[in-house]
Amino acid sequence: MQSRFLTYLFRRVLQAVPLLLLVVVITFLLVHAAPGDPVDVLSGQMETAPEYREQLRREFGLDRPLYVQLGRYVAKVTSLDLGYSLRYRVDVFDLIMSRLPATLLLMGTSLVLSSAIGILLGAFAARHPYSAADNAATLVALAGYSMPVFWLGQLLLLLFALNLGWFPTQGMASLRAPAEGWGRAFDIAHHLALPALTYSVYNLTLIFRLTRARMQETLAEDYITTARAKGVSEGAVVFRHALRNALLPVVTVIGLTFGFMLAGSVLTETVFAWPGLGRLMYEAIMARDYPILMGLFIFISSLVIVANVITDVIYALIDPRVVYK
Amino acid sequence: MSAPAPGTPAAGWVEEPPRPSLWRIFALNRMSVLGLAVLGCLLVLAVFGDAIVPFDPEKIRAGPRMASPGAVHLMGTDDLGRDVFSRVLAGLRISLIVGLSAAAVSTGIGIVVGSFAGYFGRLIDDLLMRLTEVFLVIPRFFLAIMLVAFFGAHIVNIILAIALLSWPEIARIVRAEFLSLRTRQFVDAARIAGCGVLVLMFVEILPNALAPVVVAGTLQVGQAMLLEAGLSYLGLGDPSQVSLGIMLQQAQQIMRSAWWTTAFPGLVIFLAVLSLNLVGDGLNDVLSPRSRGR
Amino acid sequence: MIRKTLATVGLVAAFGLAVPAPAAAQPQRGGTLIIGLEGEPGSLVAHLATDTAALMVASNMLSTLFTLNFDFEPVPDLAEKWTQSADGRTYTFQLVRNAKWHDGKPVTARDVEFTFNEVIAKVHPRAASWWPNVEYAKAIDDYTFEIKLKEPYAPFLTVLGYTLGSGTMMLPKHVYQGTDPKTNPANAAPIGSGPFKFKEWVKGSHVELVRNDAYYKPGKPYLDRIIVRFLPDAAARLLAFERGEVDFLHWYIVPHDRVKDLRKDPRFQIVEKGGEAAATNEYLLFNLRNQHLKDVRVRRAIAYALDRSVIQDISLFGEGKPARSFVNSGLRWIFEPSYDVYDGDAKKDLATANKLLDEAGFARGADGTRFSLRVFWASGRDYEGRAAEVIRDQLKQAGIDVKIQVFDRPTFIDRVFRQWDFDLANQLFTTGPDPTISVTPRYHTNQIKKQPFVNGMGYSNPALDKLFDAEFKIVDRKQRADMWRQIQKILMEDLPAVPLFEIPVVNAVSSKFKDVITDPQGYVQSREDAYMVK
Repeated sequence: MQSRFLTYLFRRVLQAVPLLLLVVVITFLLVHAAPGDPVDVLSGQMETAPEYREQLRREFGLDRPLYVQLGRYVAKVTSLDLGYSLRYRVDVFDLIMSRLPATLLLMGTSLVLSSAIGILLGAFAARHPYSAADNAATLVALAGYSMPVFWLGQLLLLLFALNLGWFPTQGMASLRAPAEGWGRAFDIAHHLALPALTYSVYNLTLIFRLTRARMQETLAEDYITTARAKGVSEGAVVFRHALRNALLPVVTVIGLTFGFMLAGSVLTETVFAWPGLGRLMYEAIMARDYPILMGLFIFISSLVIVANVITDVIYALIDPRVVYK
Repeated sequence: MSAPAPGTPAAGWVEEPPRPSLWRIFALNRMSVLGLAVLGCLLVLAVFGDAIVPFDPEKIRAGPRMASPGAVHLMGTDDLGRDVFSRVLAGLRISLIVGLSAAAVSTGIGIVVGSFAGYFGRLIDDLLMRLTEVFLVIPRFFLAIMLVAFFGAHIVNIILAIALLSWPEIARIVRAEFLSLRTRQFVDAARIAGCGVLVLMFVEILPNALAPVVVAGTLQVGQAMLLEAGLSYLGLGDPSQVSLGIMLQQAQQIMRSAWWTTAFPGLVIFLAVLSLNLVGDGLNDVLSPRSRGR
Repeated sequence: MIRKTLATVGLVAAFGLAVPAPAAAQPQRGGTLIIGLEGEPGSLVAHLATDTAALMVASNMLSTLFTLNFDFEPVPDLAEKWTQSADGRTYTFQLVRNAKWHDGKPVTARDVEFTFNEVIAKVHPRAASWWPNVEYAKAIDDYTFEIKLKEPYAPFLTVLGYTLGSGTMMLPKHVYQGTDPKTNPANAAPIGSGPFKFKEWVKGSHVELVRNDAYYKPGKPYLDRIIVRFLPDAAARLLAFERGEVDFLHWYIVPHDRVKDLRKDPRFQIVEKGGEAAATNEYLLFNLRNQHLKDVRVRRAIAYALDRSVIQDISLFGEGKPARSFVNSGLRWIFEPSYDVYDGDAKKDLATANKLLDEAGFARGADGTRFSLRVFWASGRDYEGRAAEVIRDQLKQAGIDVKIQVFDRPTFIDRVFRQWDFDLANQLFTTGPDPTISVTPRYHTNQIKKQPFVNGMGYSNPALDKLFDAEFKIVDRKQRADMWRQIQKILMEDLPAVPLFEIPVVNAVSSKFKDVITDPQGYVQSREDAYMVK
């Protein structure tokens, strides 16, 4: 058993490598397929002196044949060298790492929020399919998924920040009177509330739908009927028996959506001036800072692949029914 | 109510005769019916918008500037005195076109990839599925942003970018259906009758695999509309095609003075996508293998 | 060598500015000013970029030799006085003796010499436009610095004072010597000699600066801290300002439709100065390669057919004013509106337009249309879109069918300035602080280059080129002003573009602060004079 699991783990990791390689190749080809001189693309909209263009040409080896360039690029990326930001003139990898914590905080909070609400709503809705309560829950859960995230964020800002004055509008912490210790934690939480809410509303739907579907299936299973027949209270049936079993795939999916959430953060972070990876992306688009764009792309793809492997492995560990194939 | 109601487009594709009635299954879910009704209204408004709008959506100074909603201008006017109601209908049309085209292209790619992978299996399946996997792990909104940033914010590029990031789901669904269908008797029968491979794939098997594709495709229309709005917000919309997303982006500057310039386009996009999602849910109930009583 | 003392002028001007308004309170110490910016700069120094964001932060930490007053005359900063030789080629600067770098070392002429020769000349993006004319720049002793030009260049001091264009902010030699000025870590954590010291740069969020207690101007600065925040969302940025999370939004990012309301609100003030150095006008550019537009009668007809008061009113929500010349009215010493003959009685103007078009041989077709033109604009500046709509509306009446095409900015620049594939285009041009720097490059024949923001119109007039080539050698300001009036006359006759409106200088500042803006580069100037009223 132990050794079979290790083999599985090894294979899973091994499978991820060509995937990563493909991502790098696709990114590379994308930039080269873009119309115009890649130097134009790489130097962005900045006015550039001819010497600088030559320097770029050499730096990126654009005078070499395409396959040589690709080889060099792959080699660079595998040594965590994502290049040099044209605008900030610093290492792209460092830049990404400095922005990662803010995004993880926002994502983590929203994941917890949307999972909690989604699972509760889903379990609730599944008990009486097509009832008024189910319909209401469905509508609530679908609503966030059906509007532009940035628009929702702006509406929340108008309501909660401007009209009610409950929350600050921009950024991660109060700058006028910076707090220390617990005060700082509270301050960050205060700033986090609206972006996290916006973001979790968007992610709610998926978790809700999945929980609802799984719950419906589970509730129809024999052992639930048996439990009910034995006189186990309805609450216990739902929460102790059904929900537990329905949750496993839900947890998996939460893991799998990680990457899409990360990518979706660009809109939320822009509305709330949240200093995370999404904002970095936005700034990079505006400045046409292609090394950052490419770096972020590769970095996040890698994160997603790693997250997928981890999810698979965890799934394999906790669900004895999984066959290691 | 035995005849499929108009507007359940998938009804004709279902192979087996409807058991209670597809419409009845669909109608079980009241929200889906409501969604269908709203979607129908929006489609009518979008298609016949030109005929019913009170003003030319491009006409400046159709009324006073930034007039609040009222009897003449149902949704007020914008910073150039253009009628917001008329513009919203025109924008809805563009947004729906973007959504439908993107979903259509995505479904097309997905069907081709999925059916080849599912029909042939083995190496072809392996290769195509690895490719699909790449597109599943790539953060797709980022991919769309990069594509549009590299190739220019033209409406066709935007549609293609959105399609390029949506097809893997369809491909997976089609592949799964093909895997289960290719060994069925009717396929064997057709093969024995001498049908070519392409005929087998696209005439014999595909129609039977379409049901879940229709569901996924419906949901993709809505998501494509939202993606287009998101791109517009980041300054990557096609400014010469006034979609609802572009309207939202342009309203940002003036939303504090004229809330209606952002509220109504947003509300309409919300209604459209919500009703598409509800209809998708309903279709899922009707068409998914599970509820077909397998 | 006879020397003419310019410093007196500067001192008087500086004194003139320092006289407080009768009701104004005495500046007080303390407080934090929070500035909102639309984007994050790539670095915090002046020598790498010409963008507003970098300069807005850098100007608080780095010193200039001198700043400019509203007449574009120098005001002492690091240089307390200066002289110019009679032939107009040699400038000698005396530096203050009590200036120190933020790390405690004294500021000397060696630093200035190093900054000019090793940094500005080598890496600044626009140095190529004026540095080749410099014969030498050197330190005479520890506190004397001299620059000699190869030939006289009238706008020289203005160029040096216009930091947004020249990046002439002084850097410490001991930090930059032997390093690549493009990648020196101090670019992201500057060590300057200015009123505020760098504290931290939280990427994606803000930059924090703190008061420099050892600043060489006694008593200054008044503020304890400056925080520059990066707020990308236009709507949310304004909310943050209205909620008091941000105290200052510069003129490029204040939405014009909100200005009226903000003016009425006692919590805020709209400061209508501080953009004079940029002196920005909006233009309708003509592509003179177009078969219709190459005829000056057509261009004049278009100018007649346009009602620029209406365009300005609608585009800017009543802010700003119509542009009456190819220089902005902020350039008081040369601005001349009288050559603008195109905006009189609207009805008569339209008749003139129709007559000119008939004469040019472009008669109306059966549907009343003479010919079609495309007007391009780039998304981002919403007023340019509104202007395009009004232009289409107005030209229709003269029988010109206009189709509006919108692009994202990179594509727009490519189409208009690199491919020259346009008919009409909405584009703004700065015209200050000196017209030699910012007007000449747009209309000189030798500027017909495939480069952004130069003569993409393909306009050429040898007589005008001659004036352009002569005027900057004239040291006498009055004589120069006369020549610039001639230039404006020719441009208004030839019309390579139609000046549409002047971009209004409307900075939004919290009422809690005073003197946030004190000079013509107010949006990027140092905030050493700003103070908080309790």
